Amino acid sequence: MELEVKNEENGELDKIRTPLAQFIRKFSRQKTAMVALVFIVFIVLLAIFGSMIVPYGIEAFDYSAITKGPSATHFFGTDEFGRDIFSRVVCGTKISLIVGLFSVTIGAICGTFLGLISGYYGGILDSVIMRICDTLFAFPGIILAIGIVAILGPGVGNVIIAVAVFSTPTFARLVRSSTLGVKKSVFVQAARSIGTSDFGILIHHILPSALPNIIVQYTMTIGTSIITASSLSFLGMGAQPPTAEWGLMLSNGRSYMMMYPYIAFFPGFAIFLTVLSFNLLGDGLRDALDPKLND
Amino acid sequence: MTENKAKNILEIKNMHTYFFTDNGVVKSVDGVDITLKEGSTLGIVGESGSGKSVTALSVMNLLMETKGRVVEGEIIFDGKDILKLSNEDQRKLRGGEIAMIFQEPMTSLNPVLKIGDQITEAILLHTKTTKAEAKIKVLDMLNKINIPRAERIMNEYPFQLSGGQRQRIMIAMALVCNPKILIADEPTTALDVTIQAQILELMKELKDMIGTSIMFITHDLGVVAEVCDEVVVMYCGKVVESADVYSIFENTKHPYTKGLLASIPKLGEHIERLESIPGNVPNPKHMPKGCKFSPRCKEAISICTEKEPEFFEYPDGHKSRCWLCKKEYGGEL
Repeated sequence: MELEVKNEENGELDKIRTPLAQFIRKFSRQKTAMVALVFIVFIVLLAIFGSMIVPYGIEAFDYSAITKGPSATHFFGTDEFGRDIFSRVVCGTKISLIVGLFSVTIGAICGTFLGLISGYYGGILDSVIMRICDTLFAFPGIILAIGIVAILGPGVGNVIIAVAVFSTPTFARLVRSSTLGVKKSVFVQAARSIGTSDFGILIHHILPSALPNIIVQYTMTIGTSIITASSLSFLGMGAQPPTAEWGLMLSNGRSYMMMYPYIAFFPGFAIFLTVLSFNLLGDGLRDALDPKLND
Repeated sequence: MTENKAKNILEIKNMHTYFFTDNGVVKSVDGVDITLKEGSTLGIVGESGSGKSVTALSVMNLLMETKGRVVEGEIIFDGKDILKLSNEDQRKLRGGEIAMIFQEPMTSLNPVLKIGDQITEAILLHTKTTKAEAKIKVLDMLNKINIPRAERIMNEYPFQLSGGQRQRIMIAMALVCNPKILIADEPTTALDVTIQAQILELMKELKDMIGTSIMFITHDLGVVAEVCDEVVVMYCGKVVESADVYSIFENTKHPYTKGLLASIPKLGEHIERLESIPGNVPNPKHMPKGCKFSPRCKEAISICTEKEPEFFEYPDGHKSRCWLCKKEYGGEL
């Protein structure tokens, strides 16, 4: 992708690659990341339109066909209540994606804000914010999430809050380190020399420099947070039955693991594919955005 | 000279800027008096580490990201001590009344913002204009700095420009709000010689067009001869000699300035080896006793290593911080 600009001196068309065009070029060269991206687009479409195209409702009990194996009528088989696993897995996409996106978005916004002010102003503010982050880091993620859900009570909304809280410190640290690096650069001093306010410097000059890191971290964390959300549901602290949630379905299927493995297999596989594609996308983005890997 | 009657636009009085590092206090600027007259160009000359840049940063109040602080003295601009102004008033002064250009054009523009947006930012910060009006002003300014294809450059990123073009953009950014003072911190050091000449020429033109006074920091005495009306020579955080540009070159007083002048290659002169000043600028933590230049000075006498010389003023206004000058004029040592 190139931007064609008319050269006023000789009337010829000059081709200039904008940074965006360069990024797209580098990203599209990476086959795995592209496949992951296509898969994610597919999942997003499923999340939006899935409930309209599935053959059965998520709460359509059919006691004449319980624990049936995969067949032409039930692609992924049926569970212990005769519910169609294919329909439930497709509808579960929505909850997992919403939890993943919302929680990480909230975490990224809070973390970025905290990281910016703590890196820029330093001093006591910095120490306080970073010590709180250290404390949150000391908990294993899932334990922290369990703790928060235990306080707030189970439910999808609270899972979002819990996952947001535990992804915030990562963003705060990441953005703080970028801020520390950029705030002493000459262009920030130059911006200050024309009278730019602290706020203007943070938003216009420091944040854009940290953005590539934030984007990569954002994509990678979506995968992790989908796992955490599913784990919470698996443990009975997230989505409540009869919601079609992958972690919850996995948890139900666990009892029938030996005899009817497909009940647990398909939701588990859905989690695996989704998380894997977000991680691969993140890897691809990092390679495309990293200026050190410039050709 | 006519400039002598012009009023002082900036007076730095007995300014001390210290850096409070973990290893102790570094006195980067240690009692500096500098006066900038309206409409004139003042050159500040010295080796690396002599405190030139710190003086500039102190005036701009840009020391907050460092461990440095102005601990004593006054910086009088427009009748007010800018060190006593609130942060907000200081911010308004920066870019609006006092602007600065930096040594490194390659890093002083934000790599992820378009050129047009960076210059527009300066206008929007200091004047109440709409974005459309600001854009017209930016275009006008870009035409003034003789940059080709101005309209197109507005939408380009810094990496698409050469070093000389970037320095022009920095100059445009600094001057777009018609500041009263422009501080240029070695603006041509990173550029090659032909571009240097163009940039100097441009600064001269704009100075007359806008009526800005310039404080020109450099270690290049050739540049000083080219653009400056008056010169201040700094050594170890102190002004050692100050005079108008003719006296500095014709009637050099301080041995340090003499050394600097002797180390410039001259056209038409064939010598095997250039003169140099022996030794280095002393470590700020281990300053020599007496005159700080005495260990490197060829003309040093016994008093030089014992007592620090005062500023000695000749009747024509030429000032030099050297015992020899006092002796020359018949003063008691």
